[in-house]
Amino acid sequence: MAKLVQIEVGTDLVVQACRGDQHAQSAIYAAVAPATFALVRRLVGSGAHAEDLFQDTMMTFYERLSSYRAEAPLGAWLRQIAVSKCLMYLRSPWHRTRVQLDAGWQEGSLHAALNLSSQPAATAESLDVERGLASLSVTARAVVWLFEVEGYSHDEIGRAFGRTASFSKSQLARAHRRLRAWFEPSVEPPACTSI
Amino acid sequence: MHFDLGGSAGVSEIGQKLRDLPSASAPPIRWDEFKRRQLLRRTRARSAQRRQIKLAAAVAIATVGAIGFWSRSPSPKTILAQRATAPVMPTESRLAPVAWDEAAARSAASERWLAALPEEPVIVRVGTRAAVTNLEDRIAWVDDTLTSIRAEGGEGARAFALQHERDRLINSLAQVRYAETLAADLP
Repeated sequence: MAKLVQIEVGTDLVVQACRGDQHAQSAIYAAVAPATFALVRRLVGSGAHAEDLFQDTMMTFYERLSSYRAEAPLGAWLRQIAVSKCLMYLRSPWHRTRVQLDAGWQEGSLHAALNLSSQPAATAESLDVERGLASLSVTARAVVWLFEVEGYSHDEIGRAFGRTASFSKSQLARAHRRLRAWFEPSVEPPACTSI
Repeated sequence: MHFDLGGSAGVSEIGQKLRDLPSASAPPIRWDEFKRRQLLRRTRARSAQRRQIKLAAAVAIATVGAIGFWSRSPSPKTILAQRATAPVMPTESRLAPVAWDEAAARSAASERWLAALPEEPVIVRVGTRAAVTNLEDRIAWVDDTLTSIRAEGGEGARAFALQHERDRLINSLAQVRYAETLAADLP
């Protein structure tokens, strides 16, 4: 399955969807929804919130579809909406409070939050990577995903979080250390500074 | 502080592992369910918008009414001063008895209706609340003055004019409170 950013939809289908054609709208949903939900889940983790954000993203997508100018693949345009919604959620004070309250997450709740069983072709290795990703803090997870997979630069990530590029670099470095320790438990995480 | 981003061989491997993860997940809702929720949300948004417009209109009407009343009506002190300096005329010639009776009856009905209302509405709004407080203050002042006049044994033209002013204030208060009640009852 192609990544969200690579998904292209025919212009005719988009025009028909803008005119309110239910079949066209349904076809676009079938094409983009799985990749959109995967992206939202990677960025925010939690099952219930991911579902809410996915729904919100798709509703905004259809509301704004008439303003799509086909300068980039439709999936790339939708990705902007999804990332924007997820980061807005991660930056909200209400969410930060909830994360503090939920600080004592256990492995079982991580597994449940990831809803791993629902993934169609989950191999043992991908499950391990999913668990490693879920062990990161929500901010570090979003940063590492945006940088490594979505191809965002540190400047773009910093701006998206309302911070600087250094914030993105430090979050990424910590995430890498933690993921390395996760994948190779025998390897001691390297120190940031030499004494 | 220095972060070792690119020097470690494991970093690119980690990135590759993340990129190899499945890029699709079964969406939590099917198209039919999504469409149903979308329609539901639009309907809710529209009804909320209509409710807000109605509420704003009711509050605006009440506020404009109260401001209009304030700007037109002279204060009770001014009325008393005007009555005191005006040439004394027979009461009957200034106010027709029929009109007076009607106004008094209307005022009495308004007062009964006001007494049946709760002390304050469920939702207190600054605009109408200021008007209500001002009217209540003026009625209280008129009541005090009337009591003083009657205690002194004066039941003449001044008392009659004050009583008339009191009826007018009561009716205005009833109108503002009625507007408040309408605004509070909007669905």
